[in-house]
Amino acid sequence: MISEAILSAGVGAVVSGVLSKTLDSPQKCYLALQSELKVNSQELQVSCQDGILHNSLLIEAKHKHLNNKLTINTGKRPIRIYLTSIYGEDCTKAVTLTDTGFILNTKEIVGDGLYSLRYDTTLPDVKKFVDAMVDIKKAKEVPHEDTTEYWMHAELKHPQALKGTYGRLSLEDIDFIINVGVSSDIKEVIPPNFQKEMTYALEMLRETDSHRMFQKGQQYIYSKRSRTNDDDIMTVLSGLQTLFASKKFEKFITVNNKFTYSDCIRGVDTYRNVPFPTWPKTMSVISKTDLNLNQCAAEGTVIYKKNDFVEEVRKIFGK
Amino acid sequence: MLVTSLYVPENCLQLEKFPAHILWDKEQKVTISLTVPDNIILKEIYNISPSGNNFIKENEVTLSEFDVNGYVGFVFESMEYHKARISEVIKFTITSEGVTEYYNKEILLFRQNIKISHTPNTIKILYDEASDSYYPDNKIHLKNVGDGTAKVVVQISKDQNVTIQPPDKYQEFIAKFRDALFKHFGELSAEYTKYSNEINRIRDFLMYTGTVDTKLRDEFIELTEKLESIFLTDDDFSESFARSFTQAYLENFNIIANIEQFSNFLNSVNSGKILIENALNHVVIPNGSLPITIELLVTDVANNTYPTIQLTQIQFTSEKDAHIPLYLLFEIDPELRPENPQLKEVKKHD
Repeated sequence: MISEAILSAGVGAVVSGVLSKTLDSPQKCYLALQSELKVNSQELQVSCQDGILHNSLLIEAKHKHLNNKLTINTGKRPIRIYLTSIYGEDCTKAVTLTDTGFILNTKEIVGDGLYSLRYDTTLPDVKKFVDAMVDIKKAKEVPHEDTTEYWMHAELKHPQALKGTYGRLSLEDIDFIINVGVSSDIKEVIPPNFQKEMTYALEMLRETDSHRMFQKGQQYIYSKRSRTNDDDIMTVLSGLQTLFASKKFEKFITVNNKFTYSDCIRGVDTYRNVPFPTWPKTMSVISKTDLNLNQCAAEGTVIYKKNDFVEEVRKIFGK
Repeated sequence: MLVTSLYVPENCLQLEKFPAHILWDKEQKVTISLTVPDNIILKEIYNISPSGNNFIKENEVTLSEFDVNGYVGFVFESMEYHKARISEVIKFTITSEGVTEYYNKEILLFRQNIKISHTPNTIKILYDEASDSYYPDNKIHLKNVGDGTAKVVVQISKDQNVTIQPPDKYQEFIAKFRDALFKHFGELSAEYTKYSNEINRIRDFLMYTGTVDTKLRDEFIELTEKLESIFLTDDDFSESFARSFTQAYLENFNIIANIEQFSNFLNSVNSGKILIENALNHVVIPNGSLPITIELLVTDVANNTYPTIQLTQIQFTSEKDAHIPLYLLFEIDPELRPENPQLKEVKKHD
């Protein structure tokens, strides 16, 4: 079925206010530099994970022996700025940072030379910017338990906006969070004796009569012996927690195609009102990708190596 | 080959949106046609020119003018199907200078499908003196014959003299936990003033005890997404935020014995892709005999809601006023899956 409104409503050059706001400062910079210098190119990169706009310009003197101080308004103080000649000479001393941008002493820009000017500024609301520019979709669940491959997809909503009047724009490190379900895999390997062991331990702790406490203790030890290792309950639980540390869990994850792996974070616990760590319902895997005019759409997968993970859990439970 | 990439995901939850794209050689001028099945809605097309020759005819759309040549993006949405697992095919045709390429992309659309395998006519609540607890002589059997996880909230039909509530100790714990969290969030808000708006909003949500409607749920989802993005960029704040919860828990830890709760938790762990969200809550059954109608509110992991399942009436009897954890009333039956996962129904197209 096709929505009748789609060709009018979903179409074309709708450059949102968010985008205009983001490009306002680089455009002003371009025009200000253009008044005294020749701007050969401008490349803008938005680092979506950090919320930073990188602006790189290739500039050239129009006249010899310039002697002006150009005030460039970038809206806020740049995080960092570099000016280098085409021969690699550092000329950053020609730049003075201000609270609203920087001042470029064009006296230092000698005629016939090419210079690379690069500066970084923070974006006010990078999430809003990414939402305006990119359609992000991902698998919220996979269809059957044997499938452990989660798809991810990013596509540009308005690629023409990346062409820009004053320079090309690209988006880097667009991040995705895929929640990989691990809870059911852990449940699969919990030995029934572990549950019994928990119950006996609980009864033993509750008991006030020393004779009955001894009896419960014997039952507890008996149930514990049915496992192959002799860790107590809290050691087993604690061993389980280490599996969900980023460095440990990442070996069960592979990220493919146009995406790269970034990190993984423990998700919410399976049952919310248990007041101590058990195990998470999911692990959040963070991946990232880039979009630009040469790559308007990107697809990728997060593969969770379930069998390897289950094997590790099995070892912890002493199975 | 005209097309360098044509993507449709292999699977998606029913009722959810899914993407697609086509990339082709930028130097080639192409015409793209696609045929969309009846139960799939084409919601968005990205990068087509408003002034171009783009047409819609019933279930088919033809596109030939693009803002930036070499790319077109789509967003589709599936409806809910009668079948819990079904494959659909979206057909693409790409033509350029007498060359035509055809692509049929299949997508598996799935959802949960909870079935009641057994509802007892009667459930007698028995008392175990040794453990000072109650247990039922019969259980309600559930199974999920679909593919997606079913999230279930158990409730009792209105106008019945029975309530579901957190265990007594939880009420005390939750009250103290909330107080502690309120205090810690106040400190957090003062320390991270740039996030004070988000902190105060999440604090208000956590303190809220009224009913949750769709608007409130959407606001909460939006807020959690905002917080997630902050966590990704600010490790210090992320750690401090998590610490607020941990501290609030630990300060009130002694109210509930951890091993006891964990033991209960293990008992409530269910396989079969059914998650009873209020499993640890208690149903309070008064002394005597009374008919009770239990309802299951069903959602999936994307928070899509499904019709409420109403069980046939069960006659509950108890010799005392009894509190019984909900998980004890249910048994989850395993679902036998076909040996060959390829055995899936494909909807036929003309």
